[in-house]
Amino acid sequence: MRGRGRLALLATPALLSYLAVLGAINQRDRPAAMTALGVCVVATALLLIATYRTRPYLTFLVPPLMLYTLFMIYPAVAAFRYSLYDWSGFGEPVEFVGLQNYRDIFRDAEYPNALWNNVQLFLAVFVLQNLFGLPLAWLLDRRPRFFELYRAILFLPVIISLIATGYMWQMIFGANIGILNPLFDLVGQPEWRKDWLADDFLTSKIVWLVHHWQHLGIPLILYLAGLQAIPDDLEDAARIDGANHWQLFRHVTFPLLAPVFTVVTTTTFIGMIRTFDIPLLIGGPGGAPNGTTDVVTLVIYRAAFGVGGLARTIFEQGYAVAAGVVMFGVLLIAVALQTVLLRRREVEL
Amino acid sequence: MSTRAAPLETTRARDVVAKRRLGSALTHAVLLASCAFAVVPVLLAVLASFKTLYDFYDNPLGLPATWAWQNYVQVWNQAHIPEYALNSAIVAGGAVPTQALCSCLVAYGLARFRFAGNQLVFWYVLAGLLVPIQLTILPIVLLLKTLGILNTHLGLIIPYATFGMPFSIFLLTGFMRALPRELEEAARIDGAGELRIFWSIMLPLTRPALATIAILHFVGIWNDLFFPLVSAPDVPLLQVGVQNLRGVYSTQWGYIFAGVVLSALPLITLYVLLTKQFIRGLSAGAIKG
Repeated sequence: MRGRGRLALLATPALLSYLAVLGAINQRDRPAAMTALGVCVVATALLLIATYRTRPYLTFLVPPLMLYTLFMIYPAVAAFRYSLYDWSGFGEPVEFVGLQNYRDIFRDAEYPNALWNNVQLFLAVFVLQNLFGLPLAWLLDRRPRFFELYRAILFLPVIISLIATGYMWQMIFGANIGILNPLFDLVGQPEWRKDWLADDFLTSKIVWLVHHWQHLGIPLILYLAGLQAIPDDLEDAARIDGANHWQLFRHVTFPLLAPVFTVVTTTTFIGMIRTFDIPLLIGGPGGAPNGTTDVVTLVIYRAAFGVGGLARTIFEQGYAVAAGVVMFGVLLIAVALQTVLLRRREVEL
Repeated sequence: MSTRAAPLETTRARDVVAKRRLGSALTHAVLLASCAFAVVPVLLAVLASFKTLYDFYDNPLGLPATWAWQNYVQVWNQAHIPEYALNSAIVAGGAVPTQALCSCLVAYGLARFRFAGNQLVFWYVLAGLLVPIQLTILPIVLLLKTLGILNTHLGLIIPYATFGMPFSIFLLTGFMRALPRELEEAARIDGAGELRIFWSIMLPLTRPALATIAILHFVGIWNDLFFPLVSAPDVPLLQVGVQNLRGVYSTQWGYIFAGVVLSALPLITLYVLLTKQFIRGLSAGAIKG
């Protein structure tokens, strides 16, 4: 009991000064924040020295978690608060508008259009990744010659930066330098020439393709790891029982890969909702042509930083942050679904 | 009996061999086609980086007529690529070890000490996995401004060190829980302090997991565009510089691609040297999304 009283006595100044830091930062009061920070460092140091023998875990946990709270948790909480204000980003947010920003998000065509583009992107990439990633992983799992080389090359696009990827695909589809149109001329089919990056229908499909190119390595490696984890005797037993290739895959291999499948689905979903660089480089900040390559991160980017978008030219931080909150909600639902699905699969297995 | 069975057996064996050869040829054909899909855009960019402006229009499909090494010289001297790469290296050099150390400390605290609220702290950390940067970017910019480090190296290092913490802690906690406790117990009996045990025993044992998170984190910073573009225009990191190439050189595509290739070269070199570690790290990172 005495130990606990002593801990409370020591922890209170550290905690209070930390809260003072957060408060001052929220008010954007620099001198107060700095003073509070100084006090906080001293109080925390005292706390950690005094508890080092009895509660050593505090020494390991408290300093990094203070940093984490300041740069991850506080900004998230602050973002929720800002989303309730009409705020240009200058000065303090004063005009409380409740859920107005959220109403605007779903009333304007801009955000639903962008979100729908994200969802289509996910569906397309999801189909492509499974259609190619799983069979390729299956081939690699049989350890052909040059296994390591194949794997290294197939994984290579993952380490190419998104912005470099955007430029690289200009070499294929770009209006001036793309090789596809000259290639069609060469084979005597000049009528196949297209304005690939300014076509209401085609450009968004190119966005899909580029994402697929960039990310294929990830499901490939995840499926490969999943396949390698399946014990050989399970498949051997099914084969001895007379199962053909398809039956083997359908009833033995795929059920055992189901957890990997769920992980691939969720990571693809999260990745395609958060995508930013590739649409920015292919369609520009406005999602050209005609918003067909727009995505939610670009909507946020335009609202927050005032890049001439579809309709908005002034900074609207409240709107931007509310758009971020909606995106967070979408991600949250995806992760919750993954957890539920994974649990259910575990019961089945 | 045996004289009749022998030819049949050989035919069947021959069939099996033929089938296996066909299967293997098909396997290699499919894998080669897929590899071509993966490398063609990269090769086109490398070729483009050696082309002069005339080549792009006169000879779009062919090899460069003259290999224009001066593209690289030009970009190296004028487009500040080395300067931007240095910025990226400084930021990664600060953020990667900071994050690794912070994550190790928390992971050790969670994996090795029992106390009320251990699980709660673990979930508190994991909650960070769900927070997208696009949501928190504005409060972070204001926070950095209040702290007076907006638009500085430090203003990039500290946020980068914290962004990846949830995933690193998640990975390291799992890794540490699986490690045997005997060494620590022995050191404790010998009277070593907790920090000493952490530093001299735990950290060396954690090295493989640390390599994974360090690679993941380094690649993330090296290739990131959104955060530095928005928060630190005065400390342009490499990808911001690459994005700007279009503005600097307009339609001088040879220069642009020389810049793109230069910016990707350090990572590709590392990848060739450490392929296995890269693949392990980045596919582990995929789980966090």
